[in-house]
Amino acid sequence: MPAATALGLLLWLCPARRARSDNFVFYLPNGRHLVTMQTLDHVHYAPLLAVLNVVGAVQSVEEKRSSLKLSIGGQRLEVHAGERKLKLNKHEIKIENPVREEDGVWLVPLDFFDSVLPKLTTQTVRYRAGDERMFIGNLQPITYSTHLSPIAGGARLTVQFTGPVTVQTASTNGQWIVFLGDNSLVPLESQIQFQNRYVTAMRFDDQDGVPKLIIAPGEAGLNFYPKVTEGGRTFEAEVIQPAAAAVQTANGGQPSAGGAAAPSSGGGAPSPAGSGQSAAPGAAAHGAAQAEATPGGAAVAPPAPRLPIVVLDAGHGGPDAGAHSRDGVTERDLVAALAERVRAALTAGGKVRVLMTRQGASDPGIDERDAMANLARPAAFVTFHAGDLGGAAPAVEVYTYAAPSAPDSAAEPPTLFVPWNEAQQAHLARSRDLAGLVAKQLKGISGLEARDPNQAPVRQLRSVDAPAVALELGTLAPDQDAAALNAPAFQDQVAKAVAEAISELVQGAS
Amino acid sequence: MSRRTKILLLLLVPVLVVGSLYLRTLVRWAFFERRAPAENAARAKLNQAALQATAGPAATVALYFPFRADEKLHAETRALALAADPTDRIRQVVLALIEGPTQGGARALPASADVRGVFLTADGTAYLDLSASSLGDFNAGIESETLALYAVVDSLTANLPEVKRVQFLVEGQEVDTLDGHADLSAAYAPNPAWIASAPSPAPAPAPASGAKPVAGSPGA
Repeated sequence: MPAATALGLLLWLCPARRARSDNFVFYLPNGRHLVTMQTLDHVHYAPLLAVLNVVGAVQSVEEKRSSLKLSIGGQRLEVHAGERKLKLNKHEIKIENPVREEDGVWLVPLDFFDSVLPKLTTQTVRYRAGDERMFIGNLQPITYSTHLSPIAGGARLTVQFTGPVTVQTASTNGQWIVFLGDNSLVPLESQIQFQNRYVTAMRFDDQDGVPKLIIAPGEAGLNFYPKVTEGGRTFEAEVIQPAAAAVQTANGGQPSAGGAAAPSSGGGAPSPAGSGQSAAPGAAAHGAAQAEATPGGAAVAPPAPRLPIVVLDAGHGGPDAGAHSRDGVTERDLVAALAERVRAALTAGGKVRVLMTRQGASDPGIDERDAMANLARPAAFVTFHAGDLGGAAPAVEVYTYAAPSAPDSAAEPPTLFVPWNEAQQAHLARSRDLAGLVAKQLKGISGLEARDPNQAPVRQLRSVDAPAVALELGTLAPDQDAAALNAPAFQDQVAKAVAEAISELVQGAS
Repeated sequence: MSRRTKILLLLLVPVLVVGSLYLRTLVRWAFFERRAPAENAARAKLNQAALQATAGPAATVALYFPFRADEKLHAETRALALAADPTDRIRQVVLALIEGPTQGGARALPASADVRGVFLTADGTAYLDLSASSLGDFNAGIESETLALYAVVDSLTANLPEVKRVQFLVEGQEVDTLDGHADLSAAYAPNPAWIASAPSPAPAPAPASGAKPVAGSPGA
């Protein structure tokens, strides 16, 4: 007992001085550097030499017992341990907290970044006091605004960036991580709290040098459907309560906006957690805080798994009309109508969720469409086109990807990362399965020449990280009319056949 | 008005008329008429030189053209006096393709297509720089673009052993697609899958008996 008291007294007298250590991130045009900070007596400190080596080369260092003199970029800097000032080229500069020397490491307080560092480099320095990041050189950091809006059975989180970003998502420790690529980002607010039962907080973090958004769901078991639009300027995620397996899918068959068939009304309103729900069977499994009334007190069905996603890509768009017929039918409009019919046919069953790569007058780039698809991790991808197939009668051909030349896989050892240009290679067998299923279904349509699946270097398929096929309707050429292709009845038949084939593949996989 | 002034005016009027006509022509030439750049003229000379080459051996080349009946490539033979320089030979074959088929096939490249430049690397990659006009008058589509590309690739690799693959450029730049569909981001190796194994459908006549055997053509 006395020994424990003595130990306690000793710990009380000598508290841990390093309460925590954070990273300070330097964003430079050629990359990022991390410097580990220390917190001493509630003050953040950064190692002086490590910081100076980021902004320039330290040419000479002269260390004495309580002082350090060094030169960097032709300038002389002199610091003294314990002093709230330092000398730069013999001019005295005051700092808020004293310079420290701990275990041979010279430490400067963070206001050094504000008052001294910009004078040590000729490059532009962007630093906001209190931040743990600095931008050096000709960098225009991207920032963003955030908006959370209610949707049926969930909430839609929209993050609007001031510049294009590349996005990849992951789920870990019950949170969703949105990685923001190699972009230089600066948040207006590091942490945003929401009064919403589906999304409670969003935090920006780049402590490991990788900018990312961490989204905290309001409860476990919610489905997360991310999407990137406007060339990477907008990130949108629908957070939706999964439909309870039996009860919800049988209810009318018409899915909600998210295709998840959740019947709750007004559940996504930015209201205090747990309120505003009339019935949410899936929530009962998530603890007393989210306890909801269930209809008739019946046993609650377990939440259904995440719905598989199918990406439908209508080729061309906006000013790019693609091929056109003699009677003025454009590929852009023809395939948009067909893709929309396939979407309707697919979502009518309520078993898949559909993501369209373009809507309205938009015309996303080829890689943008593939990135949008890959972010959603789809179970299938179908791109729709129309063109010259030779004959006059309606015809259709389904293609899987064939590289212009075989990938030179022998030359380079396999790595953890799949090159963007080769993303489709791993899915070719499943893509051929899908092509076979689509062709089989299409052969059942009378008056349509449904050709055997073929392989072609279709650019749109190259970087899709999922089973993917291209469907070409024909003939759409300037010397032929295309009224037959544009007929609603014909399009409905084709759309149903394609939807049936996709459902068969997706259900077979699940 | 004195007689001398009258004579002077009489002389001045035609000078002014001729001068203003010349000025008008000059202005039109400088500002309104699109002058062919020197680059175009040089390119035309190169193409002309390639077509008129007589230094190399006379050969029967097999040119591949798409046939609408089976949507495959069929060989059409043609006698060409191949140039000595490999890049000129590539130019000759592509220009012959642009000339169009004579035995019932469809055009692989539009008549407005033009070869801007040809480069051949030591590993057998031919860089074929096409003009932007090569994309005009083109029936876009997955199949038609794929057939067009393989018509060029298979024609070049079948007739010129030094060409192993073809990288397409448009106006000197690497481009994503030919016209929105076919991948142009990598070099194309010959692909026999698009070559017909059966003879050309009617009404195309059978290939001439003296046709040079086509390497890499299945069933040929």
